[in-house]
Amino acid sequence: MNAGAAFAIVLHSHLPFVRHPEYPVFLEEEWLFEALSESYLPLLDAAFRLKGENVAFRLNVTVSPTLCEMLADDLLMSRYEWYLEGRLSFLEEERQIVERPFLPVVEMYIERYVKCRDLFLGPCRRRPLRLFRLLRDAGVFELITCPATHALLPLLATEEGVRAQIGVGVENFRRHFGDSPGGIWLSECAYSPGMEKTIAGEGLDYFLLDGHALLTGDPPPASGVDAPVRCPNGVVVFPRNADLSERVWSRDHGYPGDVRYREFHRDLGFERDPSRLRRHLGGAAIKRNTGIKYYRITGDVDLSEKEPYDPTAAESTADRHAAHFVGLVSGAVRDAAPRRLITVAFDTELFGHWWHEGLRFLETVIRLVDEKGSFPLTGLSEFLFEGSAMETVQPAASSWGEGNSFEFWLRDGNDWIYRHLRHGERRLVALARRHRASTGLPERVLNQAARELLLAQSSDWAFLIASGDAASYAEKRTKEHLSRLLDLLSMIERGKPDRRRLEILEKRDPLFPEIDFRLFAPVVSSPPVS
Amino acid sequence: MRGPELPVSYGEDRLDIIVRGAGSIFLLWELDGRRSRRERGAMGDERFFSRRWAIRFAVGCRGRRTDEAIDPRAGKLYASLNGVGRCRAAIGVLGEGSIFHVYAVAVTGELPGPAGGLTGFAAAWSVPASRPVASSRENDRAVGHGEPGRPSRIMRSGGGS
Repeated sequence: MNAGAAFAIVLHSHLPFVRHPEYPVFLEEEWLFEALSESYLPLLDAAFRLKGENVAFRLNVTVSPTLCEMLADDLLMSRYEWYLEGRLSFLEEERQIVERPFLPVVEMYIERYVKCRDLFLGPCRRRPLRLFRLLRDAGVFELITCPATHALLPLLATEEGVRAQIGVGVENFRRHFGDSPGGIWLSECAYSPGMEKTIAGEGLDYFLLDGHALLTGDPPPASGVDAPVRCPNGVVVFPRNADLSERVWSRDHGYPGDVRYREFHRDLGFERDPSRLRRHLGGAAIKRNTGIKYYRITGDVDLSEKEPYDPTAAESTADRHAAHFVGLVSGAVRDAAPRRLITVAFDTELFGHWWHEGLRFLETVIRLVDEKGSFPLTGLSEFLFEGSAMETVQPAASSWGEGNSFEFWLRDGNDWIYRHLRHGERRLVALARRHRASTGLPERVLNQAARELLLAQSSDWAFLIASGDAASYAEKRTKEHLSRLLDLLSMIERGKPDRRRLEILEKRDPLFPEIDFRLFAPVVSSPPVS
Repeated sequence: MRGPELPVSYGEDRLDIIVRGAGSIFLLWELDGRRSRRERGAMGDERFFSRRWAIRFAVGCRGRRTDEAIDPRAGKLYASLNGVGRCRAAIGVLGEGSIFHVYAVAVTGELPGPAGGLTGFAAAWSVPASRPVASSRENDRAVGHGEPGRPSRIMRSGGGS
């Protein structure tokens, strides 16, 4: 046993800003509702349950600014309540019609949605961020911020653009959580040398990178990826242990591919009468995802040949996988030198949404770590407070994407966006410098231009276009924000702000009220003090 | 659901380099600035675009220059590069002898070694309408041996033709 080493789990929670008041039901808004029902609320529920049982643990949780804005939005939260009611009425009907092997699955879903409703209307008071704050205050969560709209920072055109993404993220965190974040999760762990200066400039102590960024850094650390390091400017980097993370992350080589686990891709919405879906869930009478799935992975067979899901068998599999994982972590901790920190990081939505049993797995991991008592499950700031010598390393540019590159976000099919994004960014930087002293209507126009640029920069759009999922929606969103940005910039250049147009745009995507376009203005160096 | 149309061009002579991965870059350009428009007006689009357009690359302080022939109307190019240091690039027209008529330049942060990661920020500058660069020595300054992180002096002043 190595009493000096520790283990940290980082859960990264993010969704792009999607809000469409112009439609009574908008399917892309359900990304948020599914994540709430399947991942965020069950995670909060599990954290409170563990705390209530005096299990000692700390989780590092990022909540991206766009997600914070949606979780605090009146319209979206009222729609979520309606979403839950729709699922429950649909499932009550299912209970009457399904064949026997599927009944336990129906009961499982009903129990889940009832629990979500109770949590949402009860302790949450329709504001899930409230529970994140409570868990932070209780010392269970360490909350971490992200770039404003999850932009892939190395692909931006200017340092001012990078600073604005980080600065808005920090300000947004302060508004929602009432204090300053200690660290930042860089979108997709995408980093280029030099960013650490901006990160330090925004008052942040640390950020996270894929271990590859250190292993190819200058010099590669002797501790490998088992300990944080300092950049030359003093900011700390926590490296993600890719090998351990992969055990949990990979569908092909990790736990989530077990044949007893629930099959994600066979959704009930493609097997039921669309008019019935419409009656309960609203929207058009079309086949679509509902988040309700009755089958298990089964094996390498066609979707139509999947076998019924058995929740009990899946849960015991998750428990076995958790025990195996804790064994692997124990080995890594045992092999590590004193004061080392093994860090794993995942998307929060992996647990519950993609990997249905993932939260059961995570909860069991936390319980087992506590029972064994051989190493702590720690917060990143907590680890820093305890103090330890760190190597100094200049990390290399990297991401946690394929090949540790940025290629997925910039390839044939989505490369067209960068011409416009970079033009818009440079133009806003130039105008922000020239109109730094603006007040009143011109200031509001520039602030809205900053919002539109940030929204257009969201890495989700490039990702969705490249992956082919919701590609047309992603393309439309990118073009809309860019078009509005160009419109607003022209207003300033022509000296003719259009109040009516501005007010329409301000209402359409009402996020980041704290935004200040001057974040895009170049830093003015102070004259030397004599 | 495809969204509004965006401008085809922004009225600039500009080259932009974006680093995608180790040894992998993406170049974007536009030839619609004052200089290009003037020349297109004078010689016609067909002749303007049918000249020997190329991207000239140089990696690192002593990096060897390489020219990659391009279709100037394509507006983009994916390229693989080897070497350590900054990658400089210029878009222009190959003339007689070693003359390279430069329309815009761009530079990245440090490129990695073979085992390294990726580069730093990609920065780019558009070039004010300038006359062609005259000599190979000055071409070297333009895309091979300029001050790191700054547009080469020669690109601002231009050379004799």
